Amino acid sequence: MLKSKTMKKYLYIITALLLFFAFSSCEKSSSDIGGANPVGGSTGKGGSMAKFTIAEDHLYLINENQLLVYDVNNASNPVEVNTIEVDFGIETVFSLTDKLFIGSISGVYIYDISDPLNIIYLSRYEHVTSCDPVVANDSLAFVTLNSRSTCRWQTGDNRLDILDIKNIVYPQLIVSKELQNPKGLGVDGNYLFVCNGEAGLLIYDFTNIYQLDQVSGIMGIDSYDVILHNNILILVGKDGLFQYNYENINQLEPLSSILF
Amino acid sequence: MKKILIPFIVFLLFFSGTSVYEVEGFKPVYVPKEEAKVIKTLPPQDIKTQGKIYVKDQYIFIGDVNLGIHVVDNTNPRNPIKIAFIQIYGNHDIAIKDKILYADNMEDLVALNINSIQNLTLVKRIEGIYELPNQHYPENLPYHSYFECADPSKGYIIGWIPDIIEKAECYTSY
Repeated sequence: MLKSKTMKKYLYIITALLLFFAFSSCEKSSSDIGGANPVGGSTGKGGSMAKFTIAEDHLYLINENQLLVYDVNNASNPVEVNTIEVDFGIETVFSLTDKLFIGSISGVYIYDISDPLNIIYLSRYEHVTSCDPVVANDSLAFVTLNSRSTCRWQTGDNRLDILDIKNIVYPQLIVSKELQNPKGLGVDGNYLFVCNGEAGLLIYDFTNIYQLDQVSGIMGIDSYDVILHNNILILVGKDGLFQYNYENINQLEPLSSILF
Repeated sequence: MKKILIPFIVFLLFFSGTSVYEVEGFKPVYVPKEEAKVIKTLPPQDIKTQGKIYVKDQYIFIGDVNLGIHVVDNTNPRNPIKIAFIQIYGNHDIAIKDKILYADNMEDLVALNINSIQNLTLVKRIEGIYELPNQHYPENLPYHSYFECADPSKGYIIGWIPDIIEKAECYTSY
C-alpha cells in the first residue's frame, strides 16, 4: 500500500502530527506548547490514542466518521455545539494550541479550532502507519515508530524520529535513531525519556539535537509509557506502575511500585 | 521394539485425530447485556489489560481496556494506593475537567462526577455516539483467520482476544 520512500517519510510526519503532545501521556504536564491541560489545573493528562480531547472549554470527540464538539463550560452538562463530517475510519484526535488533528485510516486532517463554532479545515496528509506517541516542545516533535505496533499499517521499523515543527502544517524530519522497541515518550526541559519495551527506559539530553547523549535510564522494567510530573517519573509497563524521583538525572531515586 | 512402537503409533493416531480442530484464533469478549451500561465503583482489582494512564491532581487513573478504570491515590508517591475500580464496560478513553470525568461506555459518552470516587454519580449520558464493534466477526484479520463463532445470547461483544480455538468452525472469508 505504501511503496515509495517518500510515502514512508510522510508516514513519520503524519504520525508526528497525529500523536502530538496533547494527549501523549508522556509529556511534561505544564510546560509544553499548547499545554492546555496541566495536571494540577482544571483538566488532567492522558495517553496516546484518544477518542476525545479537551481544549479550552470544549470537548472534541470522534466517532467512526465525525467530529463532535461539546461545550463543557459547565463540566457536568456537555452540550453539543458543532458536528463535522470528516472521513470514514477515524481513529484518533488531539489538539495543539488552536489546531486539531484527526487521524483516520487514510490520513491526518488538520483543523483550526480557534472558534469551536466555526472550525476551519486547513489541510490533510495521507496515510499513517504508526500509533505510537510523540511529544513536543515549541519547535520539536519526537515520534516513536514501532514494528510491533498493533496499528493497521506498519513500516517494520523501530525508531525514534525527531521533527522540526516550527511550521506546524509542514514538519521536517531532522534526526532518526534506531531503537529496540520504542513506545511512550516524555520531555522535560532538555531531557527526553523514551520507553523502550523490555529494554527499559532511556533518558537522553537533547541540548544538541544532532548528537543525542544518553545520560541515564532504567533497566529491567518492561516500559510502555511515562508521565513526568513535579520531578516524578511515573512509568507504566506490562508488570506494573513504577515511580522515580529524577531531580538528580544521573541517579534516579526509586520511590514506589504497584505490581499488576 | 514392538512394545514401544505400537503404543507410539496408537498415540500418534489418537492425537493427530483430535488436534485437527485446535487452532490459534480469536475469542469474543462478552459483556452481559444487563451490566453493559451499569457504572459503579468497586473495590480495587487486579489489572487485566493495562491501557492508558491519566493523571489528575493526586490521582493516577489506569485504564483496563474494555472493563473500566483503576484509581490510584498518589498523594504520597512513595506509597501509592489502589483505592477503587470504576466499572465502565467498553471503555477506551477518559478525560477529566474539574470534578467531571468523561468516558466512553459502549456506544455512549458518560459524564461522571468523581468528587467522591467511592460514591460517584452519573451526571449525563449522551447515547449512540459510537458504534459497537462488529458483533459477528473480528475485523482487520488476514483471510482465513479462525475465531470462535459469536453467540449473541452471551451478551454484547466488546472485543476479540487471541486464544486457542477448539473445534474452529468460523473463519474470515472476506
